[in-house]
Amino acid sequence: MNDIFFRSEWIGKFTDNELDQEQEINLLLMASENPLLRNELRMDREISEIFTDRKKAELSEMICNTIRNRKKRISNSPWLKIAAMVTILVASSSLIQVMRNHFSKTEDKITQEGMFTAEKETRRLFSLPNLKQAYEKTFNVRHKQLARVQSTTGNYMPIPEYELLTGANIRDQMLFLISPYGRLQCCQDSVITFNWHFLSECKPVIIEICDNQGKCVLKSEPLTKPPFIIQANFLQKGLYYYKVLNKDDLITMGSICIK
Amino acid sequence: MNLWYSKEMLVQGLLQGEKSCIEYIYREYFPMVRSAVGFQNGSLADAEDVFHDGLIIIYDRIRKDGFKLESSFKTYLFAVCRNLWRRRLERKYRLMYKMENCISEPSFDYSHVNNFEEEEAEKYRLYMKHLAELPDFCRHLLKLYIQKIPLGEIAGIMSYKDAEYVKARKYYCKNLLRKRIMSDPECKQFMNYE
Repeated sequence: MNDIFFRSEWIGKFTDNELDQEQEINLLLMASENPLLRNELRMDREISEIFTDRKKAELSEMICNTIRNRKKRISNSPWLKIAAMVTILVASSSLIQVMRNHFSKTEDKITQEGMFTAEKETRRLFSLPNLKQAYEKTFNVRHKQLARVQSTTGNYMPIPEYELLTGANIRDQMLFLISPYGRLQCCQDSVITFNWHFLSECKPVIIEICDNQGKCVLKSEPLTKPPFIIQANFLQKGLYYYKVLNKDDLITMGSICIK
Repeated sequence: MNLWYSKEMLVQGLLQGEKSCIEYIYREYFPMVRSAVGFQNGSLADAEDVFHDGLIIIYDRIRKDGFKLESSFKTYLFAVCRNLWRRRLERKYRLMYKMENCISEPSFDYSHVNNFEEEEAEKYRLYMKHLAELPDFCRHLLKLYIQKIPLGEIAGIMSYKDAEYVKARKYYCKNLLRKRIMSDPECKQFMNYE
């Protein structure tokens, strides 16, 4: 006889008092020798007790359902998803807005200062790959402005060799240059007056003005007496160097920055 | 709509098994239990188990005569759940608590959970868990049986031929439930009866 088979059948019947006397005695004899069977009998009785307490079982089920439903509601809540999406949208749009503001400020800075090259600026902006799209729309306008800035900043590039000589007397002091100063800054509508005083004998002097490429843009006739006046609008905006010469010898030198 | 429940209402609601009351308790007090359990290395599942068992223990106490809730329901539930979780930790990690390290909390005395209560609540949850995981026909049959519906009526409801067949199915389902419970590793701690 298969012990396991009839034991399983009998345990339930034993709890419900549905075994006949002989079966009950047999089962109890087996249980007295087998602790596992005794455990099973006890457990079956406990399960039956659960079934007798209907209210408690319902309460337990209700608690489990509440925990499960609540978790499900939290994880599947459509409102929560919508709220999350709206938050992400608002955050990303405000981020884009902030970036645009930043770019427009940078653009203003470029036009105001104009003291750096387009290459440098472009490299700086494109080094942030995420900003590339936001930058794309304004790129054409920006590029033109940068080109303009580059063309104007090019006129202000100093010549190092000339800068060394600026404001210094090279030859014997045959004259004292009263004006302009060694480094003159003026607007296009101003008048530049060259005035000097001969310290020794009067020798004719020549005033030569070169641009920042070293190209001569103006050369006067030999002058025996001051002053020599030129209109600044004769020259374009940029950095120029003037030379005061005696024949071919350089007496003094200075710079004129026209803004 | 979020109703407010007084402690008397909560006790009555728990006793009557009111769904809205259980939901209120879960909504208001479960975060507290979760943080208490989480603070002592417990997971969310542990917190849920402790919360369930705590409510079952309180329910059993309420049903006994002479139960009087002296503190708020929140404090009581928290104390029960915390004691439950401490006992489980002790059992789980075999921790030896030194008495001098324990903080004296007289308010927790009344909510002391004894071994028997704890074991009963845990066993109960285990049985109910496996009952919920049974095949549909078994679960339905056993639920009808719990509701004390006569076997003849159950046969009619479940389209079985007669009461004898229902009885045979009931034994089969109970056997199935018992086997599942016994094969659960969590059950092993209850098997050391002798």
